[in-house]
Amino acid sequence: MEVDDPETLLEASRKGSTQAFAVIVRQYQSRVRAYLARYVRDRNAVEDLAQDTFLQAYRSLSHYRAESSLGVWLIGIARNVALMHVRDQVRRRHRESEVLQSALGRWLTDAIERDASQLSDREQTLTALEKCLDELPEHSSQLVENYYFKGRSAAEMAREQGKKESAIGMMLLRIREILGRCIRTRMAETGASA
Amino acid sequence: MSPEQIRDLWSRFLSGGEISAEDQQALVDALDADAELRESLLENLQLDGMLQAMNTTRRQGEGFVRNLTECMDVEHDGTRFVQKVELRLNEPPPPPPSNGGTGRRIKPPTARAFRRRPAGSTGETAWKPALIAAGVFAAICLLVLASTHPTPAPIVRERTRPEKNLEPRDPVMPEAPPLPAPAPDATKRRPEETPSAPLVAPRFPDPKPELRPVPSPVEEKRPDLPGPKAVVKTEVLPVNSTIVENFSGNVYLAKSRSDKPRARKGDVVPLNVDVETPGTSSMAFLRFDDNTWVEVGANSSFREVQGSGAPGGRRVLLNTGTLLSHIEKQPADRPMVFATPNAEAMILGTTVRLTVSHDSKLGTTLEVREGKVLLTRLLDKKMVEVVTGQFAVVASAGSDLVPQKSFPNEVLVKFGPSDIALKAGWVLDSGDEFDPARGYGWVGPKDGPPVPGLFWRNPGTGQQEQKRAGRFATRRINAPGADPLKTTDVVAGWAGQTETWRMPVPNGRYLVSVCCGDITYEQGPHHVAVEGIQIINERKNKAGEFVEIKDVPIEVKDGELTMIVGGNPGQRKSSDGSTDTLINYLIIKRIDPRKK
Repeated sequence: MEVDDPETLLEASRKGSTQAFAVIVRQYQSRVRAYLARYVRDRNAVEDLAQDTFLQAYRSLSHYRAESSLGVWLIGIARNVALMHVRDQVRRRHRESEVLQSALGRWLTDAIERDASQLSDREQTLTALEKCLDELPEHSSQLVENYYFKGRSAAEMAREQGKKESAIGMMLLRIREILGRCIRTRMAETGASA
Repeated sequence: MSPEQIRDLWSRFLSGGEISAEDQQALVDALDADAELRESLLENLQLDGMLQAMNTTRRQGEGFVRNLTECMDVEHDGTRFVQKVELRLNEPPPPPPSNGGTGRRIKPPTARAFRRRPAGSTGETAWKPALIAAGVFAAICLLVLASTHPTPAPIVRERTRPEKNLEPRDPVMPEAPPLPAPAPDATKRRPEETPSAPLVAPRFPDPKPELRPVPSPVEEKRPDLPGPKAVVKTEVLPVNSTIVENFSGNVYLAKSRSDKPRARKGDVVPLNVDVETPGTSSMAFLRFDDNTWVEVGANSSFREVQGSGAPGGRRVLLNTGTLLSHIEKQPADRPMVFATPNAEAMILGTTVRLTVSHDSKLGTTLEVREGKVLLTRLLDKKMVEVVTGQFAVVASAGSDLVPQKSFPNEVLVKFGPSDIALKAGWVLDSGDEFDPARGYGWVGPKDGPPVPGLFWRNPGTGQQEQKRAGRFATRRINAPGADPLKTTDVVAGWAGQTETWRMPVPNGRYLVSVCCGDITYEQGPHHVAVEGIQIINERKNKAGEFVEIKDVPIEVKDGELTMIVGGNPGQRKSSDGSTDTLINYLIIKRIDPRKK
């Protein structure tokens, strides 16, 4: 299917065209996945939750009233899915006495709950991140490319650069801080909050 | 632990490095104490996740779409079959043979009804639903038989006969009968699917049963396929389709005091059955057929009184406890109603999110996070509209029933002059009188009347001046590296009097943190009491020291958090003879009302 008009795609999806819905999935999966990955560290779980999100959306298409954009609606579903998952993880971690993971779950739960009023902003965060990545200095950009997109480990890069692994970790942390500031600035320019 | 150490540990944590239990605890404590740093590091973690997700989308995006589409195709085929059956079964019943126009209710065309009807007493169309039902049932039976057919002979023979008798074609053991031909729709199924459940939409492989989506009504009834009667009515038209989607702790579905089975995930919650959640860690997550959901908090009792199809719309009752709900758009003529023993909240908006809590002593608190709700106090039928960002408390008749600005989960109040730079998330208090629009403030004018007999020497003028009641904000000398939260304050109780600070909040439990002190001089004795609890009592600080009290639990029962600052009952004084209470900041954190 070559149509990419959301209205047409939605109409066809409501009538049962999975191909039309597949086009929607192609358009929005990166945003949904990125949103889920904000709160869920396990990559496999993110994959599963993304599937859950789209399946729930497919089953609930009749409820979508276009009061918000399709992307925001999908992020809303992803938020519910993520919230349930994180809450479940918190209970499990609590039982297993994993102090940091348990606290992280608690903080993330709070963060997801706060997201309720910022779904539109959240939907735009990925776009802002992509633009901010383009603005990184060459060395930082290379580090991000190797670590995140080429799958090189911090240990491997440390060996190559004659540094400690922890130093690479700190460099990545600082790059993310730069990206965070850049995203906030960009979002503020558009009147949104990061 | 310094911020740099914290960041180092965090970096190790994100890289998957080992962190000792002690370091974990220290990291958690440090981040719990510093909200700003915590938010910053959480943002860092979120960016880490987003970057990883970008990579996954690049590499596996198309495979993800293919897999999902395949699953939707399978699900769609199953759903179409179910819809077809439903359509046929929902055909209108035949006209009454002859009831003389009395309007007598026609008995539904159940199998029993057909059996009792004398032959030839109805027209040909009367048999259509039964024939369809019988056909469907026959198909089901055949498929069930096929899937549950005993395992072929050799295994049974091994256990029951001596080995020497094990022959390929033992005359004692009959050959397995041929499998029945699949029903027409079964040909659309994937090869690995069992044909034993033809009425169930084939499910996408679900690795997390706790997150499974709302089962269709048909699926809920699948295990019981006793006979034609079930196929005709019970299978496709359940009375209620609200389900327990998730839960923790002890959750019961109480039909009566003696009949209260434990809830399980996926259980259907019938109308007028109490969902009970005894215990502080209990919670039930219920989802209705229109995707509206309710999270019933700890120590609560909840009941769905009537479903969305009822003339008055869906009606639920919270007998006690707390719930959080997200309500999807309801039919205009059938608004959903949340009732408690002393109040009713009618949903007016399209999508509404709210929390309701009821306590026999505190009354009902309704908070609307999104949408519009009409709240009625049952005792005197007084009504008020509560909209996004507001809450209202329904207590006894005669008390105020006024929507108030809602309370966020955390309020950070910095005391100081009006021109100070605030950190993100903080609000300023310069000692001004309470303002409903601002939502907090002090009782009485900032500049109070002169206090007889109390004088001080004004360093600006060098003159003796009479002290005045009230409050004033100050900025202390900003020492290098000083915590900006502590370099300004509001002085209250300067003349030995008490000053009252107030903020309307929903009834419930809170954690309160307060800081008093002065970076430049010895001050005090400081006095701070919140909701009757003396958090700081006669504490003095030396120059540069602070009295910081963190997370004191308090309970608000009158819809307003009240803090009394100052006073000097012990008549103690600082070395310079002053008795001021200097308050630097106040933090109020709400304890989730769903966790009692």
